[in-house]
Amino acid sequence: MDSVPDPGVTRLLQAWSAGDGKALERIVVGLYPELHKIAHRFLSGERPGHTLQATALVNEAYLRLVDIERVEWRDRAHFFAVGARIMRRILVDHARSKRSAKRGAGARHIDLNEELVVSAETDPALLRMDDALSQLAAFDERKARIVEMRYFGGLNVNEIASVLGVSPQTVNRDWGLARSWLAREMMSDKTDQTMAGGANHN
Amino acid sequence: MDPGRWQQIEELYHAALSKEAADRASFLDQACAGNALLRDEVESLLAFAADADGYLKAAVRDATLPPSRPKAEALTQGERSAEPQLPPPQTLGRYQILEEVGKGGMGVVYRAVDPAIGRTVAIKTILLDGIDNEQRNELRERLLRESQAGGRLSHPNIVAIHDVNEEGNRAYIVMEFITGRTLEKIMADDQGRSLPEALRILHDCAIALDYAHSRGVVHRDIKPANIMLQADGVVKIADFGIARAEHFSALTKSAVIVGSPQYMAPEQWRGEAVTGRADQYCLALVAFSLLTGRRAFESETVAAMAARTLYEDPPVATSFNPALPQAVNNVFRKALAKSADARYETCSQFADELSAACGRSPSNSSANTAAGARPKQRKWLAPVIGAAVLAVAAGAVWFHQRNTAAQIETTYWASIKDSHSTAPFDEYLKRYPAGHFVKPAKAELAALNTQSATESKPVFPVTPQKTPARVTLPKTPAKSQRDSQQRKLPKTRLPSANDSYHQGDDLLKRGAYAEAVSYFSDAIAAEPEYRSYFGRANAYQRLEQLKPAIEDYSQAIRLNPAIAMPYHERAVCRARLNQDDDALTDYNHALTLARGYGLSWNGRGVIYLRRKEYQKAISDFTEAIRLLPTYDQPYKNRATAKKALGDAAGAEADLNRARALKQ
Repeated sequence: MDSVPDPGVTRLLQAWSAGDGKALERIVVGLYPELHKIAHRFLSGERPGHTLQATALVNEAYLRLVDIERVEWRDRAHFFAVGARIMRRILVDHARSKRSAKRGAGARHIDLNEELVVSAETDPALLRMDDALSQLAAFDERKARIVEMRYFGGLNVNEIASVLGVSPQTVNRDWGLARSWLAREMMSDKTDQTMAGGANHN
Repeated sequence: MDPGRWQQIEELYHAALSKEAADRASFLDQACAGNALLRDEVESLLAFAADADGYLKAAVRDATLPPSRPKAEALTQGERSAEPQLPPPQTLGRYQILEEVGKGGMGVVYRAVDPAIGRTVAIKTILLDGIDNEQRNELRERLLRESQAGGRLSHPNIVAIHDVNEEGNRAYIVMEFITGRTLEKIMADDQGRSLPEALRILHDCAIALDYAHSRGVVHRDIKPANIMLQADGVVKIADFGIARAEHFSALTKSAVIVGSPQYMAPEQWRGEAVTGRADQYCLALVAFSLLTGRRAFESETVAAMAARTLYEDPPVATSFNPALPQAVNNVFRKALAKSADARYETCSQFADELSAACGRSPSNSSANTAAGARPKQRKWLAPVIGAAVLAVAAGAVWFHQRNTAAQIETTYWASIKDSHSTAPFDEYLKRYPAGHFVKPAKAELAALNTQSATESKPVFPVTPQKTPARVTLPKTPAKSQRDSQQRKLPKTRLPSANDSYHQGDDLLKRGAYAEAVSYFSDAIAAEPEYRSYFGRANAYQRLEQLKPAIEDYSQAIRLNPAIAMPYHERAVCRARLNQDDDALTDYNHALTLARGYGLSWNGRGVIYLRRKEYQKAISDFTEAIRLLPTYDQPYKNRATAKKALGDAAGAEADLNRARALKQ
């Protein structure tokens, strides 16, 4: 059974919250395949009848990997912050692969440039969100991280505040503006440069 | 984006938001002072302020929808295809396959002939693909063991198991061949069924279950799909001993289990040992559906199903079917008790009591008395049953093997955490006053309460009833029952304890300890909670007021003795006051609860150091170092201990490492 909490991850979390920056990297390394595995099960429809929230995926990974009796609330928040980033990557990869699959068998090998030509209209909202998030991160990384933690990791305001070391009020303010900005970017699709605030489309 | 401009936008955005909507335009006119670009930018952002959250959530949610599976949709009524790609075999072992008669959770069911004795049998296959050898051996062994248990059973109301074997990538179970329909199908198809008939079916099931229980075999998966009715009316319980083995097979494949969350006893959710009383519970659920046309517990999500089964009282049967006598309510209450000990001794006791409550003598119920047209014999079993029971039957897949209380709690939390209303969080806190997510739950509550009143959602979305054309049950009671279930949810506003606590917590983080003490005190006055005591203790501790800190930690421990932190902190305080014995006890306690807590190892090492028990000290510091490799203190401490033992070189090495870490 792979749902036995991994003492290693629990310990890494504790080490991380005790100030060991390197522990983070090792958590990510350990967490990615696990989350990927869990996510894959859902995304491939192996759990019929169940839709799921990205945040629930992170939760499930947490249950599998961490001995929750031994982890303090703050450590949990850190875990979910990492989980959020990975989750975003997994979901974006998945959306991309679905999108290329949709374009038919003939377009199996789409090169990078071709990908960029695709208009925002046909892109799933998630990919537009991911693009917008990357743009936001380019000039206001904290806000982008807040959004990531909130929507992909399901952290609440207080948890995010604890991870970032800022007050919950700050998180709330940042989150408010960030989400408005992102939603507008996603809605106004295409590439309206004045609205995009000069963000570069890499 | 130019940082200066972004900051400008940010300030204007928040300033405008703090104004009444009607005043925003004029505010922006003034604030942007003719800078039309800036004004447009802020205004366009404000336009999204209200909907952005929902929009982003939807973007993430849509990306996590699994692909649609038309094939799965075609397979209804609990029949899932597990090996659609395999051509049907001609033979399995010595058995000659005649035809495919159904699909089970993990494989196909065939009608076959045993040429040795010319007997028609049913063969259920379980696909062994995609699992490794070890798992395969385990599955085989388990299948054998469990079906042997089932095979030992010989009862007219239990489907007999003849043989268990394996061929190629299939394990297969050879069983008595039954022509008949499952109760699930009957409830779905039939126009109605008499009360005596329903009671007779239940009674026969109960007798068969009691027989199995007396031989130490528990079915564990009693549900309408596993109860069959032959054409001659004889009841047969299928899959004795197999359900679990099948589940195991599913488990090894994808770490999930196939089963029926609607028919699981509380102890099964808890992952506890299961006795015959779990079967009684499930039989009572079947009875409830048969008599009322409604399931006792119904939920859209597995987590909610678990929570309901574990914590909610079953609804009153007579509210769904007012034609039932009141007395049945007591019978259901007892058979559906959360604690197995509180249920009936045996299944037949339950069935008999149910018959008696319906005004029929137990012996009477097993006879075929449908002909007698007494006034009470109306069509109790309306066709409502079908739709209600089948709605969730197909393809529920989830993990329950290791549902510890903590996992259920976490799953439950995951199911409510994105709610937009306060009720789920209130409900969570009611259920888990000392749970793992108390803090985030309260934070969500606080956040929700600061927002203006939003629409409220019930904790458990009530599954819309697919109501067939002819409904004999009056609708009103069912609806009022739903309403009353929703009304049961607390709608209380947040107690001020929560606000005070968060204020205190904020102040604590910012280092305003004295102010934090005062807010935590307010919170405690409003509600003496673990977290507030812990918070205040923390604040006292930072203020070097160790005695009140110890007192508060003690309160916190009293309220939540399963958490290591207060033990650890109290130990730290006691050590500072040179109460070494007490400190040692506390550290031991903390380490019992959380062996991975490095700081406690370090702290206990210090106590040993003081007691000049250097070997013990060194061993504790070593453990602390292992757990917290980047923390310099245990190295320093171990150096002291090594020095005391005359190991100057070792001490020096540790000190060097400590210095290196410090940088």
